[in-house]
Amino acid sequence: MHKTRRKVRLGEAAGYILTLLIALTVIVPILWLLVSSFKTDVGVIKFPPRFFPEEWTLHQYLYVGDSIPVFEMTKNTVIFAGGVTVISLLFDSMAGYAFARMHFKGSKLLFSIILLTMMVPFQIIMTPLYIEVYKFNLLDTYLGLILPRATSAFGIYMMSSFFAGLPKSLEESGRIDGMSEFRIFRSIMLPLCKPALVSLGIYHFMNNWNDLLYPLMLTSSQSKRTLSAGLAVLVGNKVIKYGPTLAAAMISLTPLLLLYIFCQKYFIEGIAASGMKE
Amino acid sequence: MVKSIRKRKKYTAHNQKSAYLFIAPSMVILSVFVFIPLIASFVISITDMNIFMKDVHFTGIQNFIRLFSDDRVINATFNSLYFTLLEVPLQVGLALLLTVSLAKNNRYCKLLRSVYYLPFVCSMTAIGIVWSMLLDPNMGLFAYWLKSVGVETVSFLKDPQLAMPTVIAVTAWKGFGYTLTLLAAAVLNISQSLYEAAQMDGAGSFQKFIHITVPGIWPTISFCIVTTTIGAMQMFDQAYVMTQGGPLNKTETVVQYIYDRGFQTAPYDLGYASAISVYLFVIVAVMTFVLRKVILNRGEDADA
Amino acid sequence: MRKKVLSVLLGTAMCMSLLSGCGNGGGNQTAQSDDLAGAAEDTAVSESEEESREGQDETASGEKTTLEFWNVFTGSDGDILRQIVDNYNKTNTDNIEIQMDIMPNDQLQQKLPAAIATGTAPDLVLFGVENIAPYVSNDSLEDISDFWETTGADKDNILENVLELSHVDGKLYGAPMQYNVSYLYWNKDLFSAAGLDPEKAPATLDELAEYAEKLTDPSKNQFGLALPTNATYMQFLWANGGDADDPETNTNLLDSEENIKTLEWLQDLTVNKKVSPENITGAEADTMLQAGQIAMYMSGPWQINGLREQGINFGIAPCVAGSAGAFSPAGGCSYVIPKGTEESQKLAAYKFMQYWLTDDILKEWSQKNGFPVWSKTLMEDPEIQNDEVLSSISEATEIGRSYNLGYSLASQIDNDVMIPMFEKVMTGAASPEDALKEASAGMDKILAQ
Repeated sequence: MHKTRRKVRLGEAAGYILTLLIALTVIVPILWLLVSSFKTDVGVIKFPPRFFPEEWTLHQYLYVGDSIPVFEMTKNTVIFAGGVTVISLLFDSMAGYAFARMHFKGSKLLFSIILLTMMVPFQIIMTPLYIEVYKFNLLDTYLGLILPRATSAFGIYMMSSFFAGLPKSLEESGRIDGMSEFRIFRSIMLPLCKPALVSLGIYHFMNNWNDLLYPLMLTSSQSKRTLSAGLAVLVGNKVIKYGPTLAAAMISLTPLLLLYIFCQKYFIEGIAASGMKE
Repeated sequence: MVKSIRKRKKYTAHNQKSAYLFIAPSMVILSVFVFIPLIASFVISITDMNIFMKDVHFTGIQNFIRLFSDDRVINATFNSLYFTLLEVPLQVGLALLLTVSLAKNNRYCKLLRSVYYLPFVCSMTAIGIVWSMLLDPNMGLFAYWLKSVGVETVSFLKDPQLAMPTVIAVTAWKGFGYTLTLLAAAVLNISQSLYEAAQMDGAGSFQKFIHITVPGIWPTISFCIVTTTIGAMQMFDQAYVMTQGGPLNKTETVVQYIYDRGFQTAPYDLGYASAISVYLFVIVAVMTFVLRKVILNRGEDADA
Repeated sequence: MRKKVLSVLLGTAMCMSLLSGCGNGGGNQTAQSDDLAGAAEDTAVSESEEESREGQDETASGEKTTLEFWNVFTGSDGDILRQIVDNYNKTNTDNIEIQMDIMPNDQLQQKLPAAIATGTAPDLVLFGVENIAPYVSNDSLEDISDFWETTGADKDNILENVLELSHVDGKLYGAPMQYNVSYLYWNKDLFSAAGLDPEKAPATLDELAEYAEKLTDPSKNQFGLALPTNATYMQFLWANGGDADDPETNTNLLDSEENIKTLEWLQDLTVNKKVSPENITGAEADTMLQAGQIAMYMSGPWQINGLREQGINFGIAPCVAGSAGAFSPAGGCSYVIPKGTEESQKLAAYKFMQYWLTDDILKEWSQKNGFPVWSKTLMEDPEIQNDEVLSSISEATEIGRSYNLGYSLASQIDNDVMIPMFEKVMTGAASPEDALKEASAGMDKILAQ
């Protein structure tokens, strides 16, 4: 008895040490990014390197602010990433629900086909997609940016996995009450998957926020350009300017970090508190 | 988890119809913006079209013949598989291991799970730049630290043998927090009574992990494995930012080679690039199919 | 016939996309089944795009002309270009407004061809002269041979070799924007510290090797000569009388004694003497040069601003000479007009090109960026002649030589043959003989196309 307890203690201690060490490998590079964005041009590439700036400066941020319309681009990114997230959450959860909870002809085949679309690297369909969006007269519009992303195989797959785990009894009661399928979905099922939705929502928002190639392809003027695509301009063609590059990385990261800090409560706790327990 | 649900197979035509309505929006969007471009690129793969899209001729299977005798396709396929076979187990395995310590809802665990999620929030471009700067053997902080404690200079991304493992490590570093969040959520949903019963039977923590935790979250694990694998086979950004496929093409993946042929090297042979895409597409589809078969079977076994 | 079948097929795919779409097609639905391959429908500028171009009403009133202008000038030279364009917008009397859109070179190369094919291309593009030939061979740039006559700009005031870079088969496709070769930069402080004369750069291959060895000090993380592996070193091959290929006759010139000798010398420098950081990229070499860790480095004029900002005490010299003399690969950027640009837009673009070619602007560009001058009148300008950097760089520019510029196979030769060959030699992955043999076989394959 005594022995096993000690073993447990040892195991726990090892767990703490391991988890803290891993946390360190995560925090150090990100902290380095944060503090290095306040270094001077000389400080960033100084050898021998130092972790903290010798001289703190806002110069890099000011430079970024001077070079590109940060606020307008942020607005575009919010509209693009936000639009995609909202619409995609609705469509993904609807389709995921149907695949997980409803039996219909061809559902297996269709689901496999949807999975197949996950296997297409964007580089492959990029050029045909450009021509298509052009044919729809949607180049350089918000709609043209949002529509092709308004659903995703990943989201459908994820939502259907989630719905599959919910107890069947849930919609039975709704059916007995004579509710329509859509009402069952909306008033019984959807509220239960709030945590999954938040988690998928963050995923979509982040991916689209950080995406570079796609928004760059489908916008042809600076006024519709998104933040990450706009910031790519700073990196430099022949000579990389590290200072502004790091500041730019921080600028595009900060809103996501804030969003994440704000939302993490919902989904890290949320999923556990959901109705999945029986 | 008590399985007391009777399967009802009485579905009316009405149910069928509403099911189709539920999937309609997604199907339409996927058809228009993924399938049609995909079919277009299948068609392009049997032509000699370049990105200027002028003077296009049918070439039949010529692009495919060329593909199988192209050393760089073989090299890139090897690299993609190498990457996938190491990266997926590393990312999912690490996350799974961490659930042992972190799948609890106390403050410490929640804080650490949030911390681990941080890299996932960052763009691959930012991560790539940060790590290349830190790991640079001549100017980087990590190399400098290593040197000052007496470790011989390690070239990480510059060494032909170490470059791919480094890219793998950075990728797993970026993604494991996300996998962990999904897995931990699933673990927290396993009924405590199962653990209590096992405890009474005298099961140790390792046994509990293998016999209760893993089967209990198997659907989530399989979801993570499948999606991470698909993502890994399409690896592009990491190498594009950190190594540009080098040194000596040791980190050049299939997607990168596609990109190089189609958009970086004149004559910008979109036909050939599309042929390689078709080839990649088939590989990934087969892999996913096999993986899902294996994993799902395993899952059912574990469930029973 | 075959082509027709294909266009029908592709067209059908696109039509399907319309039918299954939600009818967002807008006004030009009828044109959609047109052959995708030849689609140069410049009429089909999307409505939304027109809205987004603020104040664009050239068709209505015929007064204001808005030029869409794409370029690859990311980084600090883009700031200077932006100032010049902004100033042009404010001061020009032709009511032309230029809307500039900067994007990284890779993205430009992805977007521009698709944009030209769909008629959504900008009116003016600025990119590297090495791109002109592939675009021309795909009929994607406007012939602007009438530029001199139309604008009255003085063709004879521009150096012949600079102008040549914008020509393909005797026709003009671009207006020169900047011209440069590769230079030898050296860090004077590191020279002094190593006991070398800080005012004297190496002039020959032997001297270069000797200095590089002396200037390398691993304990200080200091390297004598940076040799990035993602680059080509024509200056070395040429110096010993070797070459890669002859674009005029499609001849492979790789397999020669001279080249073997050069590659052996290069391998000795990198593998045995370790004068360069291992497997370094160009961008990393730039940074190390700016950080004072590299004593010598061959690169273009874009280094100058960075070195000035970092306070490095540097000199600029011509590339070193071998038994056959000294040469340096030339490069530059030109303004081009994508195929299908309307005549009125084209004329407005001419106006801006002409503006760029005035001595005032060329002078501003050279002085702020350190690029050599190539306007004959400007070369006589006392201010330019007294500028230390500009005068040494202009002198070092004289040994410029074209390496496959204007050759449509150039990027393939570089990416598939030359860069891998140099990489293998410099990392020691292959012996110079083997690397050269393999490269020569690869070259044969490409030239046979």
